[in-house]
Amino acid sequence: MTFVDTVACLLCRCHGEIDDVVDFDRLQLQLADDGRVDSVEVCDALCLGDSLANLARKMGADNGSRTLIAGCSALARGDELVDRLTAHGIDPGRVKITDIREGCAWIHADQPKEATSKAADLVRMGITALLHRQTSPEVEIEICPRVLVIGSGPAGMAAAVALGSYGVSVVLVESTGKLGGMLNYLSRVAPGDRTTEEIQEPLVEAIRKVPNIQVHLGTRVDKIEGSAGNFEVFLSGKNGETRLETGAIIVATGAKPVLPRGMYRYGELAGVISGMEMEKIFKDGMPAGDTVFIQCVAVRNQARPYCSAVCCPASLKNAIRLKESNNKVDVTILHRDVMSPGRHLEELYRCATAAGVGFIRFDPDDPPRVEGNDKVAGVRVADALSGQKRLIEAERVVLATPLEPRENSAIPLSADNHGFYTVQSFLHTVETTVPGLFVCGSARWPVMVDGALTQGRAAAAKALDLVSRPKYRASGLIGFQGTRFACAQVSQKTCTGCGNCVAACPFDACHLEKTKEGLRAVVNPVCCMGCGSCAAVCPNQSAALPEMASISMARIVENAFAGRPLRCRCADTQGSAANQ
Amino acid sequence: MKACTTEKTLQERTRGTAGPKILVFSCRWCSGIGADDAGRKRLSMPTGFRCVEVECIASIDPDIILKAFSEGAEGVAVFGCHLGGCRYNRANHAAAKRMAMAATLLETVGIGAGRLLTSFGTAHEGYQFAELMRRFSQRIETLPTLTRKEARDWRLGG
Repeated sequence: MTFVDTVACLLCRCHGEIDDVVDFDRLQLQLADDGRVDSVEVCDALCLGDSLANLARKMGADNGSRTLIAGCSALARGDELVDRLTAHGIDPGRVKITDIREGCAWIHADQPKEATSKAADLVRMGITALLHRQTSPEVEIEICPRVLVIGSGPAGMAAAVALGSYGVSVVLVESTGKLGGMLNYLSRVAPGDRTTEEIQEPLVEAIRKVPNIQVHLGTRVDKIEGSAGNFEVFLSGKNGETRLETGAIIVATGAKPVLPRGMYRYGELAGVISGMEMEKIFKDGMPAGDTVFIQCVAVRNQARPYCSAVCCPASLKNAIRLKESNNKVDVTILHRDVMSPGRHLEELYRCATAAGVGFIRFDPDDPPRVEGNDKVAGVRVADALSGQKRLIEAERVVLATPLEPRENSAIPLSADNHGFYTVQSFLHTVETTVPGLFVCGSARWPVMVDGALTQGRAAAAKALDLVSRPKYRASGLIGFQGTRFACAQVSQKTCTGCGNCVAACPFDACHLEKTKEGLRAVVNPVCCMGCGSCAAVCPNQSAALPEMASISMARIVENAFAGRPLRCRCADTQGSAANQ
Repeated sequence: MKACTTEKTLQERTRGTAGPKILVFSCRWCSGIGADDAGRKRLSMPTGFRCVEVECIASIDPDIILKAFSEGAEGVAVFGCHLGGCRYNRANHAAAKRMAMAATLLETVGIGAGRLLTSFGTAHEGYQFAELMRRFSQRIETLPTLTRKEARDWRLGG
């Protein structure tokens, strides 16, 4: 499409909201002087009546024309106007909204003269942006209709079952020899008194029944290559190394429990056990004897400053079971503060207090001490609330240990400060910064079984959205907006292969390729999200966003203060004044 | 021509009553919406600034900041999302570092690091945006006038 190099300006009065402040007659005169302006029109309110339909008809008659609408901001009605024009069949690339209401008239109501010249500048900047705007080419990806689920914990199984029941081909990879992940090691599931089989068996049964779920036990993921729609995954396991093509990947690798080595005499004194060992004792048979639980072991400290969120409910659950099996045993929970958010967990806490579980709060600077010579005799603790020093007799001390992230170099996801995989900010629970890669369960944050199941299904829904279509627009892959702003382009003629863009890209979309002339940067149009980091660091402007190239930005800056009297009328005087 | 013959300082003639000329680059996800929010609340601000909305402040090349000064801007403000709140992964962390570098550069060439303001705000921070613009305008007003001569010196390497 070739455009004429002039722009039609449409000034919206907004029923006097704008032209009470901005002098539209002067604005029109100034714009008429501008060689780039084809025509200037004033309308009463573009969003009301048939003004927009008229505009659409006019623009539809001349396909080469472009229109700048100066009125309210894009957030107020501007974007809506563009959408309505698009519905009339007008290419949104031919329209630009310049905000002279929120950005000018309303904030400068006390200085109408200055507001007018500012409005003229803003319109000129808009014209420049519109004239220099180009459109990134659209890329269509052919989607491989398969999903790989890594990890068969509750999250991974829920995702696989959800996808399988929709008829999607699913490959479930598990590094151990058994499905279930952490469920295999737990005795009961909090909140409530549910056995793990209650949760595990229907899922395993469904995985067995649905024919399009392939399970690979004892298999690891070695490497992930490619991008959304066409990932190439290298697996190694019992059957040797295999290569797998997949459209989307769900990471449900979970987290691992910390071993409290060297804390509270763990490992040297019989009777001091970790939370996971307690679960094993429960699985083998109901234990007896007075028990003390110590919370926040090896967590919420300098090394692991987060709250693992699952250890308080786990201790509450086990304390209640001990107390309910035998009311004679003394069960005490030593805590910094009990984390039991939500209705169900708060109920669990109340249930524990009602059952007669003792709660003693300790100061992290003065932690409890485990007493005993060859086996546990008791725990000495300073009660932070009453100030009393107490000795609690017990024959078992359970250290409630947190979950910590697993390290897996094969998964190309960025991790937060703690090592858990990050998801996109703002209301994106399972979408990561890599399109087509979703994360759920404890791999993204320690989560209880119910949460893991829900997250697994959420990840399945997102993956389904991607793999259920044969083709997908690359510009629609960006999670937080319908269409990405731009896709970076690198001029192969001028690129020197310095690699600045490769280092700067927050999505690892740039890479260097060897050509006859040497190294050249190449942008993967599927991974690029259009932030422009590469354009900012490129030393010779080879990398650019077509929608906002550096030349366009420079022209906009040139126009920003063009309307000042000094530059248009007193340019000579300014020079002479500066020379003195 | 009339304005040039009166006994006004260069600064007064350049600015009129508008306040210093400030070019604002704002990210369209957070601070751009914040600026819009300030507009919706009709907060009064000095008229000397012009907003350029960019997709992410990571796309701002230090060159364009120098370009703004050579085009007559007296200050440049770069507003992004809060650190950790960037839509584009870690892009605004990189931009923050780049702006710190640009400030050093401005100090070296004699424009002064104080003329570049980097700040991070969210979409609902309209009051903060207005206050930042007022304060930055005041700060620029206290600085000595940026004349073209200085700009020429910098081009010659002096």
